[in-house]
Amino acid sequence: MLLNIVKFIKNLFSSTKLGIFLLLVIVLVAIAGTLVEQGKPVQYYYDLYGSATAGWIVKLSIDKIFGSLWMIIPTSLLIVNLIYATLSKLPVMIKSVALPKKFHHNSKINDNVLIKDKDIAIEKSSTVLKSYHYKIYTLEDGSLFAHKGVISRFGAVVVHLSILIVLLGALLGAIYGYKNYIAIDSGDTEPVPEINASIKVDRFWMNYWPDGSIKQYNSKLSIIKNNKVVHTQTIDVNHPMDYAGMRFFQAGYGKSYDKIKEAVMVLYDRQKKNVVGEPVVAQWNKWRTIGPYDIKIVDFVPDFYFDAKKGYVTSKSLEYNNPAVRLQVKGPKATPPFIWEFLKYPGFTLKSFGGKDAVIVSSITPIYYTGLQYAKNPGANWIWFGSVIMVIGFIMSFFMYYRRIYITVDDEEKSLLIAGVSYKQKDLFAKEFKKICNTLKKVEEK
Amino acid sequence: MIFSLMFFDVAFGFYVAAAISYAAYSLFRKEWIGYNSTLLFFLGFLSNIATLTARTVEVHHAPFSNLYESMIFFSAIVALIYLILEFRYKTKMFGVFLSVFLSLSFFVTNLLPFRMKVYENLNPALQSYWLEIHVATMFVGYSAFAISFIAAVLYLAKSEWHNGLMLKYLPNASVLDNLSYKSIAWGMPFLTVGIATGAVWANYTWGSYWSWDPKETWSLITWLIYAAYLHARITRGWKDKKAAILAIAGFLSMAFLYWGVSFVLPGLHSYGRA
Ligand code: HEM
Repeated sequence: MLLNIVKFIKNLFSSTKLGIFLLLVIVLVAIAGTLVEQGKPVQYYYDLYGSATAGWIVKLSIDKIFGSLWMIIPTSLLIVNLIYATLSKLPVMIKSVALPKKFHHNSKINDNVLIKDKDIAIEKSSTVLKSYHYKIYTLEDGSLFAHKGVISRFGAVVVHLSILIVLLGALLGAIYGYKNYIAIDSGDTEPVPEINASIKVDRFWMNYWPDGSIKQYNSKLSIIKNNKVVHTQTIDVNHPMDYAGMRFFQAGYGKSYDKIKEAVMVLYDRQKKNVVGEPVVAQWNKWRTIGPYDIKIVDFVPDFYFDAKKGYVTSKSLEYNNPAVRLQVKGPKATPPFIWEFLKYPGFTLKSFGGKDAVIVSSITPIYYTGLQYAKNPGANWIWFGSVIMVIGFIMSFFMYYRRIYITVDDEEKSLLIAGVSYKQKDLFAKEFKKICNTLKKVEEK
Repeated sequence: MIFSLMFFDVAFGFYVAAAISYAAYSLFRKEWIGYNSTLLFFLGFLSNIATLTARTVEVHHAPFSNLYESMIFFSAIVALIYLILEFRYKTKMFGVFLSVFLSLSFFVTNLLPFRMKVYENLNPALQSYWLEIHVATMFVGYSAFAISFIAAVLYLAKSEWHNGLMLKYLPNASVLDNLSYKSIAWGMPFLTVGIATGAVWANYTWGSYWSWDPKETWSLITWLIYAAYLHARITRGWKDKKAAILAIAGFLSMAFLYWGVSFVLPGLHSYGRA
């Protein structure tokens, strides 16, 4: 009983049918994974499918199907099946190509060639087969066994091995892979603990096509270690930077949400209701004189919001919906030391200034941040290696083929009996066989 | 744009004419009609190549960066493979199916939005040699699978109805089966290289080689179906009809991978829609 079960399982796992079945199961799971969007918040499924269906989707992990047991179980069985089936076929394969066989009359293709002298005839045939790149063995009874394309018998083994290599790479990636994202304002330096150094974005810029659409995003990066620049490189969307086992990608960009480059301001006379003097450009966090005042930009929010309860200013979003800068002001008249100025509402805070003067911010120049994705992928090279091996295996399986030729002298010693076998590419072999026999005939006639 | 659009129409015209001519040849079996059919098809192929060449000159990049360009590229490879087959197997009987297939392919390409037909700037992620290798190999794979699909359908028809209709003029069933297998044997390594170079490109651009986006997933599905096909053929009892059905399923999956995913499912590869 137990023995029967063991035998059943052994048979099952050595069979190609289980393999086909498992491949098709994975196909179905993968299709399900493209029909239901993956990795969305639970709410998404409730809105789209209603609570009953969504409940099942979440319970059965259909929303994360590719990392779930739905995928892991058939893949694991496939690996076991693959290894077991390949290994159990291997001895048979080796045997089938390693041992010279006796002459088979019932081989697939046959021909015969008239001869004059049996001793020379075999020798001559040997030369002919050699010229067709066959490997030749002389058997005990004096007949010839020749074969070619032995390597192709192992094509399937190579393909299967390569699949294991690719899956190993995927596994390594899943276990040891690492991925993170950091946004750094142009000009700023941020520590990146994973590489034990800091990254400074010297500059972020875009190139444009003649029609104004974006051609490329670029960041010039410096790696700083112990206050020294140890590496500098410019990356763009298709040219990442490798450093300390990590790869850095240009993954995004945007306007900084807590800083600007500079702002244009002008002095305003509240009594006369007109602008006084020329506009000035103030750099971020640098004192600038404007009329009788000294001002400095000390803060910035892209979407101003005053939380009245807590009594402080925050940003409602990261969008530039209601950008505001905070100025520090020093002046002769009684002015508050700090003041928020709104780009969209230039008159809004005028009252806050004492006396007749006010400062209006008329425009700002944003700073861009660059979004760097950084990742470590120890499995990737295994995957590339596996893919190359796989293609080699395909070529061995599909474009080479194993064939044998037997040649022996018939009982009356008047002619050579030639027989050929191939299991694949029978049409090609038939042609080659015919050519070989014709050559033999010509050689014998001489 | 003018030249590529013009050659496009010319190629379309020749393929349609070839389809009619091949059909006439199947009916009347006159040598000169057969000769004419091949000539028309060949002219279609030449105009197809001219379309691609003009397009490359006009847009300054490899001519397969959107659905419109890639369809023309795909058609050219299918036509080339067919011409080689006609020469090797000395049979014109596929001609009807192939030229109808190509005419349909040009017809749907012509239905694509006009903005695809005019010059489009490549977005930054698409300016990569890996991408060009990736797309080119994918399309050689697609083309081989298209041929295997036609052969599998004809094989099923032939083994179902034997010599009814016009089927008696087709090569016999085992030749069709063999042709289907051989096309897949060509398609499989190209599909594999295509998927792998796509992964290399994604890894180089986004920092991850595989993210299960629908296009990637469907390429894997297609690959798995063809893997099942290869095994179906070596397992006794599964040969022939079941293998042919898998070959057809593989092609349908590929067609969805190529067209369906771009229009139906969302994902990274939405450049097909652009
Ligand atoms: C459960 C998994 C699998 C099992 C059990 C399995 C088993 C087998 C077996 C028993 C053979 C026949 C070997 C011979 O006698 O020459 C074979 C051949 C082959 N297998 Fe697999 N295989 C599996 C998965 C795959 C996958 C995923 C591929 C990918 C394409 C693949 C590619 C091949 C190829 C190319 C051949 C040679 C086919 C031919 O020569 O026409 N196998 N496989």
